[in-house]
Amino acid sequence: MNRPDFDEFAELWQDGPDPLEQEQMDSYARKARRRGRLFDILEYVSGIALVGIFIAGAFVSASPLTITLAVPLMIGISWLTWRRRALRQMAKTLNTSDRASFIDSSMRHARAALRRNSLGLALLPLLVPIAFIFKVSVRTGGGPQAVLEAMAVWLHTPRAPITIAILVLVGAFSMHSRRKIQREIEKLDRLRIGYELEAERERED
Amino acid sequence: MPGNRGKEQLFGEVSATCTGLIGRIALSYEADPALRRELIQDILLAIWIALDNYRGDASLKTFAASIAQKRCISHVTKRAREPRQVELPVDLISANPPPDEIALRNDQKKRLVDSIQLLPIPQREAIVLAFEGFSYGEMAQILGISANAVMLRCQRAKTTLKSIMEQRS
Repeated sequence: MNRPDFDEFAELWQDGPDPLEQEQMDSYARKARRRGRLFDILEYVSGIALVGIFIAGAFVSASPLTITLAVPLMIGISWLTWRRRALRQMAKTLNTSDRASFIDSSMRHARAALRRNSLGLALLPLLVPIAFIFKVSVRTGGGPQAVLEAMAVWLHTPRAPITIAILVLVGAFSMHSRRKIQREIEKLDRLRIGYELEAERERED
Repeated sequence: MPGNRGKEQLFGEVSATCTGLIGRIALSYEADPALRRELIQDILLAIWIALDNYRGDASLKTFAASIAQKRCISHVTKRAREPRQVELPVDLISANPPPDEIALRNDQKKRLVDSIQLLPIPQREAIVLAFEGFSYGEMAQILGISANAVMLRCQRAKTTLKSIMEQRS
């Protein structure tokens, strides 16, 4: 099969890179290698840490110190697990060769992210007041009147506007993420249609 | 699946032979230099991770190009807003002060890059691979379509590219 003549553009396209640009590319490659190695190491470290936590949980009695140590460790491990999962998923997606599977898989991930986001947005205004009422009722002994009074007092403390501002920020950030994911899904959908159109033209030709 | 040493060696080979290709593929999707730098680093990291699954069925160059294309597509779909047309540097080819001939060539290259960035993604990925000198068989492997479909897509992409370039000149 003869290739059409791409030489006129190919030569222009392949010009360079100049030594400075090449040096920059080499430094990106070194950086990527370092990051890659770090992720590989973190994978082992998180596994070992997880085992360590189980051992600690089994043999050490609960105390403020162990809780103080365990909480950041748990957060760290959760983050690492999430990163690892994201990276593995990415690698899995990259292994698909045809574009339809690639777009389907990207679409599935985006839709799952949208579902998680919707869940978070739905639960935030529900769970925060419930957690607050629970905390106040434990402290005051329970009665609805006492809870309402404690809430009125709390609203006049400096903590109230800070907490409300944080919640509003979390809500706004979630909404922003939501719009971003929705745009991504729209773009993927348009891309899928674009590939289908190309395939259709190729069949016609 | 290559061992850790094999992976290091393969990545070394990618860095030695494919960085130009990766940079040019990224250039066809991202005009903003800062975002392009991030994209190139993402591609290289993705290659590092994906090397665990490299079995040598395709050449390393084909493997790297395949991953670069897919990372670029993800980048485009995840991009928060559509790119503003960033002026590409006039010294796209050489950092040295260019004589007239080089300036003309730089201008031609800038027009080519701008026009490639306007192509629909399915055509863009095909034509970039063609410019990179991949055979139809290799392109078919990367794009997951038949060699015949690749040939037709490349021809269509070239026609579209020429008409965009004409309109912009």
